[in-house]
This record gives sequence, C-alpha cells and structure tokens, in this order.
Amino acid sequence: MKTKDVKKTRNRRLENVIYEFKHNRQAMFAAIYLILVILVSLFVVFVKDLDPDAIDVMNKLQGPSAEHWFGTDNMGRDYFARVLYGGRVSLLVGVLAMLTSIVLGVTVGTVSGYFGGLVDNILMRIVDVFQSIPWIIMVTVVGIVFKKGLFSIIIVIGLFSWMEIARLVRSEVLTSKEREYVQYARFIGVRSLAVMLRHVLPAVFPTIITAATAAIASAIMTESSLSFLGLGIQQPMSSWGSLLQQAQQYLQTAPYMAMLPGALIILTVYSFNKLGDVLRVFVEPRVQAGEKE
Amino acid sequence: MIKYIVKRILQAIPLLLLITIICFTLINMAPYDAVDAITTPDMSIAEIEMRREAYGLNDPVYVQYLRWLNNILHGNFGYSLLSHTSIKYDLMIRIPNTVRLVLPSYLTAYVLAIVLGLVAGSHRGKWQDKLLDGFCSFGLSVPTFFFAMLLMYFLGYRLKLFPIMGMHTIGKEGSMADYLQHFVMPYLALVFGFLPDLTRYVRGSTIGQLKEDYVTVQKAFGANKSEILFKHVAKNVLIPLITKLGMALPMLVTGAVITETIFSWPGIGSYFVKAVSGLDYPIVMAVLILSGSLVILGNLLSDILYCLIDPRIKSMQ
Amino acid sequence: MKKKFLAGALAVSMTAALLSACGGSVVEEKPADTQTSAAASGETSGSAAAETPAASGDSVFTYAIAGDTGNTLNPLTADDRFGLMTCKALYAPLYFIHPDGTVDYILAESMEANEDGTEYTCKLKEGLKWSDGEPLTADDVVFTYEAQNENSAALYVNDQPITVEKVDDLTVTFKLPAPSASTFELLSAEIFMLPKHYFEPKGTFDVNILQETPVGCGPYVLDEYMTGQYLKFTKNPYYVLGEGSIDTIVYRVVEKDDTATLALQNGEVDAWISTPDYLTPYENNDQFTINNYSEGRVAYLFLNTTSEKMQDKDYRRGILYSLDRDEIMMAAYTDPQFYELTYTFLPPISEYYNPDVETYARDVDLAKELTANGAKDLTLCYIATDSAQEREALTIQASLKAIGINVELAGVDSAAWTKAYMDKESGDYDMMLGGYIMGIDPNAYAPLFSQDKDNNLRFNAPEIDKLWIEADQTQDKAERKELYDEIQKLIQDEAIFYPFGSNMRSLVLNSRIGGVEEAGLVLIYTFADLSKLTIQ
Repeated sequence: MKTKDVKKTRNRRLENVIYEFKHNRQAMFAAIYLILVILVSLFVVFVKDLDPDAIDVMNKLQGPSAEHWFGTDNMGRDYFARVLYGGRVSLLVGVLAMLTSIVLGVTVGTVSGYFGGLVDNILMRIVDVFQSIPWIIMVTVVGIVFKKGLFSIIIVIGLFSWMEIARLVRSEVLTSKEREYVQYARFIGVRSLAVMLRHVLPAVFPTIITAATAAIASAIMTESSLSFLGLGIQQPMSSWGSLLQQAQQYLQTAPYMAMLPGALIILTVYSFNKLGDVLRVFVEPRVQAGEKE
Repeated sequence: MIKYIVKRILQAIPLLLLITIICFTLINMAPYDAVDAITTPDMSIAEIEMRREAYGLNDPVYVQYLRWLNNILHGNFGYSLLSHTSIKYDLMIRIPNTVRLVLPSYLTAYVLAIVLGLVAGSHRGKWQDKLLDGFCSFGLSVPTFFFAMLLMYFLGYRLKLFPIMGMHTIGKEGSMADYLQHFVMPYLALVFGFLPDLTRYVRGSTIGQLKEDYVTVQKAFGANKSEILFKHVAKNVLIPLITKLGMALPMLVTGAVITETIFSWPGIGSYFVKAVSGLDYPIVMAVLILSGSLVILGNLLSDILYCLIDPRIKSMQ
Repeated sequence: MKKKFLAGALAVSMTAALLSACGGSVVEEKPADTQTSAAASGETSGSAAAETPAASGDSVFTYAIAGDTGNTLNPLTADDRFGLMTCKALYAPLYFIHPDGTVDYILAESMEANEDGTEYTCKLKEGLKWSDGEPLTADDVVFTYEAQNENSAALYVNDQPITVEKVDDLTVTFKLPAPSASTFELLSAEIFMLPKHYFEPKGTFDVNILQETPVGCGPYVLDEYMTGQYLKFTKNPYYVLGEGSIDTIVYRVVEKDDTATLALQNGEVDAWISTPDYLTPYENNDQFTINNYSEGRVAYLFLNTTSEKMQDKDYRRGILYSLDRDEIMMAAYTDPQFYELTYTFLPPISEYYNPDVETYARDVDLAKELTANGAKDLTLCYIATDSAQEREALTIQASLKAIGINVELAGVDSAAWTKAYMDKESGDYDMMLGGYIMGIDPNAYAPLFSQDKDNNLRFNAPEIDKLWIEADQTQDKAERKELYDEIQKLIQDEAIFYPFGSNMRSLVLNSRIGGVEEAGLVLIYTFADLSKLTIQ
C-alpha cells in the first residue's frame, strides 16, 4: 500500500518536472547546454592533435586562425584546446567536490537528525564552527597545508561546503523519522543503519538532488575564484578560472581570451542553478502549484 | 528577553574559544618555526635559543595557548614572518580601508535589493519580475572577478574614466575627489556581487508575505495594492532582512578579498591573499581568527536584533 | 636578480689607465654639466608649472616596481633590487663607474693612487651636507668603510682589510696591504656613504623605514613608506650635484604586469620595466619611449644538491641534457632580440667569458638513459610574480616530461624565494630558477659557487674553491684568464648550474619624462642619478 502511494507521487512529480522543462525555455536551454558541455568534456580526449600542453615557443600569442581557432597563449599552446580541457577540470572539480560535500553533509545530517540529543548537539556545533569562517579564508588556509593541485582543490572545496546540506538533510530527517513506517521499523528492531539507509534516506533523496546541482554550481564558482587568485589549479593544467587569470594579462591585446572561459563559466553556473530551480519542483510540488497562481 | 540575550551570549563564548583552539592547532601544525618571526638571519644559534626561551616557545602547549590567547585578547597578533612588521599595526591600517570600501557597497546593495525585491515580489510573474529575476540568475552566475575584469577593461582602460589601482594617487591622500575616482570601480564590482543574492531574498520573502492571511484581510477591506505593499508587507519583509545585517558583519573584513586583489585596494583582503601566497602563517591565522570571531559576533548580533525587533520572539520569552 | 656584489661594472685593465688619464678632467667637466642641465630643467619645470597651475604644483615621477622592499632597509647589506634602488635614491657613493668605464665623481672630487698602487687618496668636495643639514666630512667616510670591513670581507686584499685613515676633514687615504688593480672599482660600486652622526648612536644599520627617516646624501630623501604599496621620496636640497629637477619620486609597488601596463598607459605611473610580450602598445607610440638596455644578467636553473634526489651527478647531467636553453629563453623573452644565450656563469659581455665548456646540448636519449634510475618526481621553485620565470618553468616542465620526469611547479613570492635560496640546508625544492647581476670582474661571481663564501648554489668542489682564490690573486691577465676558463669548465661539469642566457631590460617611459640620457641607465638601479630626470 505504502509503496504504491509513494510511486504514484513520484510519477506525478516526474510529470511535473517534464512539464516544467517543456514549458520553460531557459530550463530547456540549460539542460541541452549541460549535456553538450559534459559530452565535450568526456570525449575531447579522443580528438587527435588537440593537445593543451603542447608548447610551441615560436608561435606565442598568435591571433585566431584556421589552425588555432582561438589563437595561442603565451607558451604557444592552442587556446581552444586549453579551454576545452579546462572545462573538463572545472566540471570534474564541480562534480567531485559536490560528491564530497554531499557524502559529508548527508552523513552528518542523517546521523544528527536520526539520533538527536547529544550527538545532534555536538554535530550541529561543529557545523556552526565550520560555517562561521568565510569560505575563502578557510579554503585558502587549508589549501596551504595541502599541496597545491587538483586533488586538494576538490577535497578543500568539498570539506567546506557540506554544512548547508547537513542542515537541510537534518531537518528532512527530523520530519521523516516521525513517519509511521520509520517508527514501525524502529519498533520491530531494525538496526539504525539499515533504517537510515532503507527508509530515511530515500525520503530525503529529492532534497539531496536539488542541493547537489546547487553544490556543483558553487564548487565551480569557488574553484574559478581560487584559481583566479593563483591558489587553485596550477600550471600546466588549466581550468576556466586559471585561464581567466592568464587571460587577464592579455586583456588589452587579446580580450577574446578572457571572454571565452568567462562566458563558459557564466553559462555553466547559470545552467546548474536553473536545473536546481526546476528540480525543486520535483521536491516541493507546492512550488509549481504556486507558479500557476 | 534579557534572559534570552544573555543565554545567546553565553552560547557564543565556547564557540569563540573553539575557534581560537582550532586556529592555535593550525598554527602549530603549520610547517614553520614560530621563532623565525622574531629573529633575523644574522643571529647566532645561541641568540635564537635565548629568544625561544624568552618568548616561551619551549613551554608546554597549553601554557603557550593561554599566553597566545591573552595576546590575541590584547590585540597582539604577533609578527609577520616575511616583513617582521607587527600584524596589529598592519591590521590597523588595512581594516579601515576595507571597511570604507565594503560598507558603502553593502549598504547600497542592501537598499537597492529592498526596492528591487519588493518590486519583483509584488509583480510576480509580470515583466518586472521576470526581468529582475533574470538579472539575479545571471548575476549569481557571474564570478565577481570576471565582472571586475570587465569593469577594469572597459571603464579603466578603454574609456579611461577611472584609475585602475590603489586607493589614492600618491601625494593626493587628502583629496576626496581623487579617492572617489579610485573608489568607483571596486564599489561597482562589490555592489554587483552583493545585489543578486539579497534581491532574491527580499523577493522570496515578499512573495511569502503576500500569501499571508493579513494581506487577504487587507484586500478584503479594500486597501489598495501599494498601500498593502509598503505599509504592511515591507515591514514584515524588513524584519528578517535586518538580521541579515548582523550576519554581514564579517564581510567588513573578508567581503572583498577578490575585488581588493584585482584593484590593488590596500585592504585586508589583498593583505591576506599576499600572506597566503607567501606562506606568512601568522598573518593568515590572524585573519582567520578575526573573521571567525566576527561571524560569531555577527550571528549573535543578528539574533539579538531579531529579538529586539520581532514581537513574536519577545512574547515567547 | 637578487644579488649584486661589491665589484663594480668595470674591467680591471681599464681602471689603471683611467686613474691617471681622466681622473682630473672628469671632475672639472661634471659640475659644469650638472649646472647646465639643472638650469635647463629648472626652466622646463618652471614653464610646466606656469602652464598647469591647477596641478598640485609638485612634479611627481612614479616608477612601478614589481616588489616591495620590506620595512627594514639596511644600506650596508641591501642586496635585492628594490632595496638597492632605494639606497641609490637615498645615498651616494664617492664616485660611480659606468659600464663603459667613465667615472662620475659624486662626493669625491678626486681619487688618486700613489706610484706603487698601495695607497689611494680621496679628496672630498667642499661644503658637503647630509640631508639633515649636518656637514659630511672625512669622518663619515672613514666610518662607512670601517663598517664595511666589519660587515664583510669584500674590501680585503690577500685576506687583509684595506685600511682607511682621515688626513683632514676633506681628505681620506686608503692603504692597501698589497697592490691591487681592482681597488679603484672595489672602493666605489655599492659603497654608499653613511652618516656617522645618525648610525653611530643607533648602533645598527637596520633602518625601520616605517618609523624612521633615514639621513642620506643621495638625490632624494625618504618621505613616506607604506608596506606593500609605495615609497615616496622628496628631493634633497643638499644633494651634491644639485637639487633634483623632479620634486617627488614614487616607487610604486605594482606586482602584476597587466595592472602595471594599464596603469602606465593611463598615466598612473610614468615608468615600468616591461617584458617583450607587453611592448606592443608602446611601439610606434609617441606618448612613450622604450629604452632597451643590458644589465649583464644571467638567468639560470640550479639543481639543489641539498635535495636527496640530486645527489647523483649523472642524474643531474641527464636532467640538463633534456633541456634546450634557446627554447627556454624564447618562451621567456619572445624574440631573440631581447636575449643572448650563455653557457657559463659569466655574461657574454665579460671578456673572461668562454663558452668552450660542456653545454649540455639537448640529447633526449642520453637524458633518458642517465635519469633512468633516479627520481621521477621533482619540484621546481620560481618566483610566481615573474612571468618570464613562470614560462621558463613551464618549458622545463615540458622538457622533463618528455624524458618521463614529472615536475611540480612551486611558484612562490619573491620573499619566499629568497628564503629558500638563502637557506642552504633546505632541500624543499629540487630545482630553482633564478637570475643574478654581479658586475664584470669574474671574481665577483665567486660567492655563488665557492664554499669559502656564501655558496648559494651549494657547490661542493674543493678543487674549484682553490681555483677561485688562485685566480683572484693572479695579476697576469693571460694567466688569470686561463684560470677562469678552467673554473667555467669545472662549474659546468658539476651539472649543478645551468645558465640560459642574458636578457635585455625594456624600460618604458611616459614621454613627458626627459633627461634619461643624463640620468643614465645602469644595472640594478635603472637610473644612475635620479636628480637628472625631468618632467615636461
């Protein structure tokens, strides 16, 4: 009985989302754009002769040409190739940092909400402390303890963006654990971990999905800011943020070098945010109902 | 109510202590020898040892922590590893510079956000709303540094309207006109950075308030739309917004890290970034502890403000 | 770039001839020269002021410098570019020797050697004053040289110090333990006269420029210092060669090239050292002048022998065989017109320069073979704000990747770089990029490589140490050259130090700035005499 009900609401929600995509051109655009960017990032490695690290000092800072669509950078590397590979890095950081923060946030949130009491209190104070230090400060401080590079960027961003998710999940868990089936499972003595995994988490799942898209967007943003300050991705690897940092040097002679990664960051972050907005419909059907008022 | 405030203050104290402990641990974990900050390269090893002893660097950790805490409470943040300047002295110059950039920017964004948010919220679904909401979505997707770069390129370099770096032309420190010229671009960049988020917030709570019962009641009594909006809705929207002011307190120190770096504004943000890239740990930790404490104080302040303003909380106590 | 030692920019053989030939005449010509240029500049600045009465009235020359001096200035030990530039503005030497051998007498009226070259007599000009109005006398000169001798062994001949004695208020004699032809340049160069009445009570030569106003005898006095932002100087009314034409000089710290070039074009700064990539907007542009000049700088890669990974000489050789210095210099300086390749520690302008050494011409197979058993992960330290170094680093990284070695780039700020460079115990980085300007006498380079001296490049070859001493004490030029040939060879054989080349510096000036030729473009300081610059 119960499961059937849940399924029904799921389907209705899914329909809502599809409806939303069909009738919201921006959302449609965001979805298509993201699919495109992800495909390009996945398959760019298979394109031959597109090496982002190939140095050619005889052809530094060339303008756009048939051979180099967006010219070359100050080491004679193909700029277009660097932008495409930069996108890979930016997306990778976005997704992996998101996963890190989701795992942390969901774990802390669920444990905290499920057990309540002292555990909850301690965990929430930790969240308070983490939240109390501006991300830019925290990320840079921890960044200097770790070695600079891709891995540490991901960890560092993930490590300092889970608190909001933890709070969200915790409050969801608080309500869902009062539901009958959870109560029942606890009553008949199912182990806590199993209860959490089987019954509580699925209920929280929609919230997680929405938080995840927002987390990707903000991780990409954070990474680009860090790289722009020279504290993020290190040469010769590039991300859109680090490309912008270099493009700033040649803003005067080659403004297109800044425009390309800049526009891509904006579009990507915008699309992930838009996607998050639409997915909210999935989570809170009320939102959509509200739209039609 | 006083009981509530006292309770909140008491809650904040262990949090502050926790932050200092984290900072102190990080300092001790950082790969440098604290004695470096107080010695010069031509000192002999015996001299260095003497200093180490004199500054208590051989004491047990908890003694060092207490001494360090005491120093922090007296505003004594130690010395820069690289330039050997007193960090307190640097902060005293840098913090006011940041405040005079961030405060006007935040207030501008704040006021603009209230106006735009109310307009958008009350015209839900109409073109005003779509325009403003579109602007916010877009604004949230533009990295501050990219916007600042564009400003610098177009206003500073192409049109040559404003100087592109610093806070003053050297030699014209007293000139207000000169200051304002330097101020415009970082100010615009910051306003643009703060605005979308705040506007969305105001819009959201306006929409929420318009759904409340009292609006329906007012409507039923035949009050016109703008009357409802500005007399009743605005008041209720502003209350939670005032608490946002408290939360914005730490911005006064760390709100402009990127903008300051781009425009070479001699504030705390550029100071911090430089310290990070130079691995100047004492400075980094000083900024860390400063901003951490400000966040806690800011939250405290916002809670207290909320408590003072919102009658519901008052009656709850 | 970081170190300049006491030897001046003049070959030894020229000094002796100069002493007798132009000692007197230069003295007589110079003041006349100064007067005319001072008068001329007085007129221009006067008319400029008349034309623009609205301007604040003071003429300001702003020079964008790429790094901070730090708040402690020590005129005795300063060895970084910006610290030395500051010293040059605040202090003056007895006389200054240009790279082409001409001598500017500044505080000294003459400097004469006795017949056997064991004693020099210096006559000071009359009426010299410090910037605070106190008279500058022979006492100050003696004080300065004695402080120098206490501080370092730079003014030693055969391990014995040159002694200084006051004869009367205007006369000082320098007594040498043995004749030495390089003394004339040794006694000039970086030796700025320091005020005894200021430093003696202080007890230290460290000046905290945040709080103290140093007393000097240079063309300018320090007015204000803001950490990380700027140094502001006003003209010294007592400057011996006449008051400067420009009222205020500002060294403005602008670390980023892109900001600096925009600031220069907007007129926010008047002068900046550009890299070739940034020159385009200034070419064929009436508003700016580009002045290219060589400093005899040598850019290099150094393999840190303190690091465990760099112990094996064959491994080090393998690394060097993977590199191509032309590619590295091209990446850093864009066009061969801005650099010259070098193969030894000497710059090509040195007459002792001998490229007949192991050059490690690129040989990828050999490189692979030699590094096969060594470390596959290395770190390379460079100054992140120096775009030329960053590109050198990237090129090296790509080259080493080709032989299967991963290089982690560690771009740090200049203070951190200096720290790593000075700390000879530190094996934090396996490789470092650097550049130095040392002057021309080959012995000036000994401190980099000799264990008897600073040995910043961490050599451990007693054989070379001995040769340095022997070469320094050899008077016969041909013999000396042979010894230095040998040293150049041996140093390259060690595979620790890999020079790339010598680059030009491009000073871009707003064309309202005049008098560059009179001020003279010199190594390290940029301008030999700031007081000669003018503003239209």
